[in-house]
Amino acid sequence: MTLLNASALYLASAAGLILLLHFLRARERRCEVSALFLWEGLRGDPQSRAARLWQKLDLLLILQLSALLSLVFALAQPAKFVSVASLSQLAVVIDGSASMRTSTGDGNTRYDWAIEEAMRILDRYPSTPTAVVQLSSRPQILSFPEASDVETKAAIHRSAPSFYGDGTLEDLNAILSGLGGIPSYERILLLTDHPFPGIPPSMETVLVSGGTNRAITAFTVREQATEGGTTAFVEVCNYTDEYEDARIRISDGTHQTSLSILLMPEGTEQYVVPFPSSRGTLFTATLDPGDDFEVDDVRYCALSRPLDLRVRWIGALNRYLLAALESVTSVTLVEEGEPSDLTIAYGEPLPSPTPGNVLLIHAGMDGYVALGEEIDASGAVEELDPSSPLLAGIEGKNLRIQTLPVVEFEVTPDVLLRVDHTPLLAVWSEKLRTITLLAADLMRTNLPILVDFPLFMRNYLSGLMRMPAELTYEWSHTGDSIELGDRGSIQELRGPDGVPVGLPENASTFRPDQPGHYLLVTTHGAYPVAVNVPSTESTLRDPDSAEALLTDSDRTTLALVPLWPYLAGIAMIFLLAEGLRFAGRGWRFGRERQ
Amino acid sequence: MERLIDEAFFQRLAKLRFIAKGRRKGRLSGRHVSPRAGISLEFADYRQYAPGDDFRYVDWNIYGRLDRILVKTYVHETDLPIYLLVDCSASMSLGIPPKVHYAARLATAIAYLGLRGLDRVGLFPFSEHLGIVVPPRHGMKHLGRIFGALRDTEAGGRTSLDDAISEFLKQTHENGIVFVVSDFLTPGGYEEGFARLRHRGDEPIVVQVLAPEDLHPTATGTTRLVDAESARRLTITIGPRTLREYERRLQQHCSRLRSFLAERRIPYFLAPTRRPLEQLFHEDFRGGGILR
Repeated sequence: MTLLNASALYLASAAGLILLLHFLRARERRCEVSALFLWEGLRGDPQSRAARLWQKLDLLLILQLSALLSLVFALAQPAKFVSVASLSQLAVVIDGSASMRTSTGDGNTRYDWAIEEAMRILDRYPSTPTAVVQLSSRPQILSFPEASDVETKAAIHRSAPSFYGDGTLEDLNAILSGLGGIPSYERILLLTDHPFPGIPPSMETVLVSGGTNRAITAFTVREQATEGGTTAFVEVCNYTDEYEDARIRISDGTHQTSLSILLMPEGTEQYVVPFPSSRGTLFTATLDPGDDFEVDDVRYCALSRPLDLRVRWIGALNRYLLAALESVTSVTLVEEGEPSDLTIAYGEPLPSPTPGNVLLIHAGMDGYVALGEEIDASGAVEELDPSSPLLAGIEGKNLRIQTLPVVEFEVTPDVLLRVDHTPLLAVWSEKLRTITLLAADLMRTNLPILVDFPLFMRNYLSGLMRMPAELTYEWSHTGDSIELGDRGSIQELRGPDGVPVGLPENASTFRPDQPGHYLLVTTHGAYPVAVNVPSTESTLRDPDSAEALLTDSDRTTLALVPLWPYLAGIAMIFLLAEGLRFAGRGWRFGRERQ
Repeated sequence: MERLIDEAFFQRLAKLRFIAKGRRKGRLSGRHVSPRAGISLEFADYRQYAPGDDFRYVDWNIYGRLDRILVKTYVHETDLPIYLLVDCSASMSLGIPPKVHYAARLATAIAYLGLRGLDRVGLFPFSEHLGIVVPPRHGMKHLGRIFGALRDTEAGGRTSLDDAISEFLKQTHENGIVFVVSDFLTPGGYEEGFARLRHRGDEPIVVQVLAPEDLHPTATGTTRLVDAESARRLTITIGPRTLREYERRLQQHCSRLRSFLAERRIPYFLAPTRRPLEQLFHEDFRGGGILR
């Protein structure tokens, strides 16, 4: 034992003051009695030496001196050397990938067990500089070797498993290189739920396990371009060794379809789920019932196109037409050369054959129609095909047309409305697109002020065949960098909970940190992005495939353990006992005094 | 300090009444039987008619049968003076709680009972001489005066019961029930006082208040004993044998007091301060025939 502040021992001289005060006081017991005459003449008892000594040694004095000496020794900061396990430097790597969220069935997760193990390791090496790293596809440092034991433990307790995928040895090498590199660590302990093949000998794996799992490991949706609706492709894996009854539910936010399935033990099944009623863009597949790893029971998919209608506008912008379109759907005007869902030619002929859907308003189109001089069209509007979906809810008799151009068709369309034998509304229905002609100048009709106009646009857009979204089999994963590609520059990013996610200015990528549907608003439209946890996280590894290693071949070192808290506690006990003793004096005698 | 007045305890006392031995001449109407004939519902006796007697009390049936004019007399109920002689000497200040405090609570309870029974109650604290006296009065308002006097009384001085009783007899001219509350831890000096009380026709009732420290001292080792009243000192080594001898002497002292009082038919009650007052009243006083 050593004293870190030996000069405090001088305070022990205060004991002399206590002794002086003690001897200045009456040394004999004094006791007032009611009737001294009853005591007079009594022969006193012979007193033993121990009793005489005890009477001289007052308990209060002993307690006072003991409290003083304990306090003095506490102030002298005694410490003792103890032999503890020690390493030159230790790294504790905690697997923070999504699979560590798996419940182990006792209210804890694998990550909780990993933390508990990490605490045991820290307690075992109290004087060893320890770095703590959370390993995932985006590893992070939880604690630096310079941090104290308390700070390190607090940092570990504050941490939580991520939704990212597994980290690799390269990831670990990269992050430890910022902490001196792997060679600078005498021991690296990896707390994980799966073995790392090919780890260097300086790393030891401690495996945590527990929990059962069934997972959706693949999910994508394909649009039916001609029939409408969608078809979902789902792959489900059963990592248990039992047959499992389950149900796949697929939802687009409005409609839902489901499929009951029987999963083979440790089997993988693929399912095609028709979803004819779907009109949505965002899809969620859910596997019921849930299990210990809930993250992979819900998967997300989004069609790879923006949510809003991309319109390429040729000619003067007509606010009545644009307002009627926006009353039906969100509209984004795109430039020439950018992908579009619809081309609107307003008052200007289309110079060359145009791909995709076309709406001609008082405009011709090479190869289809040419417009001539204006003629008077004050006659009644005639409905040639009232049953056409395009005319649902529209009454031709309400329309008033001032003038109409002479129309010359190069390809014969279906004429739906005409005035005095001059076509007013004509439609060319092709395999993958429609071309619609409204021959009159919109502003020379009463259509913009009629309720029939937005109805007409609703009918038009609902029958519009958008190009089916490109089928993608690749998921966007949590932690991956998602490129914007040709989607313009980011204006806003909303997370799965609808809350805007902060991004740096002019960002061209973003890294989602949790699964779900993100909405990426760019200069080119609003793009849904479905993000999932990597399916590799779903796999339950066999814990026996790697050994849990914690060798006892540690060398020991001497550590200084402070003893002053114990001495301070003892001093407090002495002071408390002294107080009780002093208070208890009156219990025995009426007016006993020392 | 404990409260002198415990309302719940007083409520339980309310049904008790003092029993006066013999008939006493009181001043005012009360609940005790007077030797004088008076007006009440209880028939007492016949006596010869004398001029001036109220004709309403002539028993005409007797006159018809015996040809004698007799008048009926009835029991006269009168009040009773109750005197509280409370020892306030220095020795009464010892003990936890102090004996004087126990004595004050006891006196307050007796005063409450007396005033509730329409008797007059007076307080006479004493040590060598009488202290500040509260003369006997009627009515529950008087309890406040007695209570205030007891509360303000401080223990001090030596005990001299003979002198105190002598002064008491000079200050009072009517006999009654005299409660003497003291620790009686004096070698003597009470015999003459009680003889005088008896001579005047008072009914003394003695309550000896002792603290646990008096009954069973726990001091050990060499101790300087100081007399609370005389300040005399005695250094003695106290051990089990000394303590046994002390307790034997105390027993003898109390037995002598008890014998003296018993010879004069004076009720005696030992009241250790740890004994609840309720037990003292309901068990000892009722068992001793001074309460009903």
